[in-house]
Amino acid sequence: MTQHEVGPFAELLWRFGIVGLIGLGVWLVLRCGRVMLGNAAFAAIAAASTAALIARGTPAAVAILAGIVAAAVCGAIFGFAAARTGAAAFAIASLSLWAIELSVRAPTGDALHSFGSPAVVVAAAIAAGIGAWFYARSGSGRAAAAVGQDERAAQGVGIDPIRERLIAVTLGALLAGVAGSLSALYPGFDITAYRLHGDIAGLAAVVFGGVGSAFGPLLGAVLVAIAAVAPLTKEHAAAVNAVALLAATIVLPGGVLSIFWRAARR
Amino acid sequence: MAAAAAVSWFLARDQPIWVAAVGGIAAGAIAGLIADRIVLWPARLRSGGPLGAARPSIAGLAALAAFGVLAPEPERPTHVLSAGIIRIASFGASKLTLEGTIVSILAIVAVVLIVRSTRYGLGLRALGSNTPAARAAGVGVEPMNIRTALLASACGALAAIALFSAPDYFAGRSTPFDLPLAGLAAVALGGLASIPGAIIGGFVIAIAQVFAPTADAGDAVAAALLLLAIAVVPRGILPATRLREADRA
Repeated sequence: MTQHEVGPFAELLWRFGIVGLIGLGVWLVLRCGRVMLGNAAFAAIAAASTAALIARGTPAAVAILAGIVAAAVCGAIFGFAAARTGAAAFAIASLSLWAIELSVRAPTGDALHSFGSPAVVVAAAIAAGIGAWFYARSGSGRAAAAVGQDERAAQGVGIDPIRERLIAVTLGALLAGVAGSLSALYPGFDITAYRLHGDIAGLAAVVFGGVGSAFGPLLGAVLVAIAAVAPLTKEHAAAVNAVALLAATIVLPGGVLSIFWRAARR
Repeated sequence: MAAAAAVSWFLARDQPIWVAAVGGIAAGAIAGLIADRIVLWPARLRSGGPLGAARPSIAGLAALAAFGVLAPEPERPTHVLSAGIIRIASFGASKLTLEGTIVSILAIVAVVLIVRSTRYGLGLRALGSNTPAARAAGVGVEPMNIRTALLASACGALAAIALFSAPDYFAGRSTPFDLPLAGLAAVALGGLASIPGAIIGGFVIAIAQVFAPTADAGDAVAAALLLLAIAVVPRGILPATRLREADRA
């Protein structure tokens, strides 16, 4: 995504929305005790589908919906294949999604951008955050968290870990699909931006914001978006994300949100 | 990338190719060790918390991404690398490519011997099977990690040098990202705990990449095989004998 066709504030909102949605998808899977290293591939699938359909004259709403469904279906297929694997094998399997990021192509043009609005993306991200917060408190959300904390104990109380992981991966892909479909309408849309850097941005949002709450990825997405609109080249912005992710992984395991919680408890 | 940069540096200073190769392997091994100490070791130390055991994977991916973005791609001195074409029937290959292939085969044999026949290999396998038990039996975990980082990085450096000498391999590729993907696909396909399996997996991936019409298609095939292997044969084509015996028990 280039930084030249929208103002910095609109750019910030676009980035926040897209990264927040991808990050929420990663967060849902992480709650089940698995690391999704290729969630941006589902966003790339949705973006490519939406862009191709709009370029062929399909109404924008239908194209967006089709993109989201395509991403969710691909997520379900991936989940079906990978949900029964262990933590290391799941992470390795999710890397196979990079091939999609590396090979997917999408048309660009003014026809796409006339539908785009940063307000819609931000609203979608906040709605997804609230939805994820409610999901985390639902029966299925609690079951997923139980699987993430102790799979054997969860099985002992009748929870099916494979089912919970499949649901989490599909929901994560669906959220990434929303991000991807809406990003196809972004004025600086460039599908190659998803090549690994989309995954790093999503992971950075989760780890930097905090894994403990659904609002952690959204907080992290704000920080990632600020880094993205800073006067840096595309490569340097990606490197800042990667280094921030590395630093947060090692020194800030609970994310920025955990600092607020600790301060509030005192 | 460090190995390729070192090879390029040595060749640009008119050093013999074997000096460049040894220097490249040493540079790659040292770079791997530094990455292990700076990135993976701190992440392993803090393996609790909300990120749990996923922390080293995430840290490793972040380091790979940062390195992939920031590290400049080294220049290939093609006049040195493609010198001395050897022709067998209608096939032609550079002398260096053939030498690289022979050295790679010897390196595979050496790794197999190290892992199977030395005390280090025994400790490594014990650590992989059951870390707390290996630690209780006196296996030093961190010295083992250091030696493994050196050995694995040296293998990676050798692979990078072999690829560096292959004509047109780097054209159209995101090298820092698709090489690890191909390596993981080979291991997952062949067997996560089997050296012969990993070698067979490597051949399958190599054949898929060589016969694919484009670099992207080859990488897509490698990724598809990785996903298929994990879904259908989670322990690979050749699971380790001991794992099979444990399954029967």
